[in-house]
Amino acid sequence: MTRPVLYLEDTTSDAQLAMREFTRLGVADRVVHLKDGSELLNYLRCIEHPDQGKPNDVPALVILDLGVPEVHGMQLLNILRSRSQFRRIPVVIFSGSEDPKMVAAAYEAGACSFIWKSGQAEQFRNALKGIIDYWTNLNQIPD
Amino acid sequence: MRTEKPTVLLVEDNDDDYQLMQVAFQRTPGSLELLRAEDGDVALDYLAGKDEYSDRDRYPFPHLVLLDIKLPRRSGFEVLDWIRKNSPLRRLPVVMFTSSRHTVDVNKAYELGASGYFGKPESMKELAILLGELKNVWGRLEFPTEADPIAKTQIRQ
Repeated sequence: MTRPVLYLEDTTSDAQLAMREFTRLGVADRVVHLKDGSELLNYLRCIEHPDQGKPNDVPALVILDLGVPEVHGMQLLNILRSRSQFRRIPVVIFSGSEDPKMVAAAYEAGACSFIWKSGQAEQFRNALKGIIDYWTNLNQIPD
Repeated sequence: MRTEKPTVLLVEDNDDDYQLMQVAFQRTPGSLELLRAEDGDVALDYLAGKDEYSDRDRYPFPHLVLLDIKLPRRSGFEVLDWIRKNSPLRRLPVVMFTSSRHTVDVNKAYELGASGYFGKPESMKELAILLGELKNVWGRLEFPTEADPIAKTQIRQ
């Protein structure tokens, strides 16, 4: 897999831990870390309008925290699923929320999976490893 | 949040492939249970809780569907489309599990709302690795709950 993995996370400590894990897994060079919903929307805009700036590659995977600032994760998910250019992109929710209604809503909105983000560093890293192994090594992604 | 042991509904018409999966599930450490629907129509009846499948103690609603594409009577794409169009079932994770690795099929699956897509492994060893990853990822997942009793009666077939 050569297309980028978008990783949306606003918490600095979580992002640092994640980037270390991505480095360990050998995929850090493909991970684009975005800190809020606006950055994701800007990234998508550069795909839709390549003539208006630096064109971005369609991501192979989006790892999405729900509680990001600017634009809530659920709204971002709805945007991704409503645009024909992005609706096939696998979206994995990686969130500390344990609210069953939030889980149901995420699946309803088209999330491929919802993975709980632990506050324990080892579990956090294992979950990310699982996501990367599963989605980049085993799963077939759409073009 | 559902707390019982996660169950996987495998929609697979090939008995040999099903038996391989049974063996692989037994050999792979983890906590997923395997159920089976032999074709697309049975899958729909199972998910809709129709006839004998209304007994959810005997036929528990799955947490995850593994769906072959080439099925008799109703294809995997038709099953997936039906699931995604039935509001109470929309939230059910559905992963394609098929011998096809054609880009056209992969794209179509995601277009219809697949939660993932795997090409069927060609060896037991590869299958065990795949299942290990499935259990690793889906075993730690938060699963949506089944449709409520009222909504179930509204499932269209």
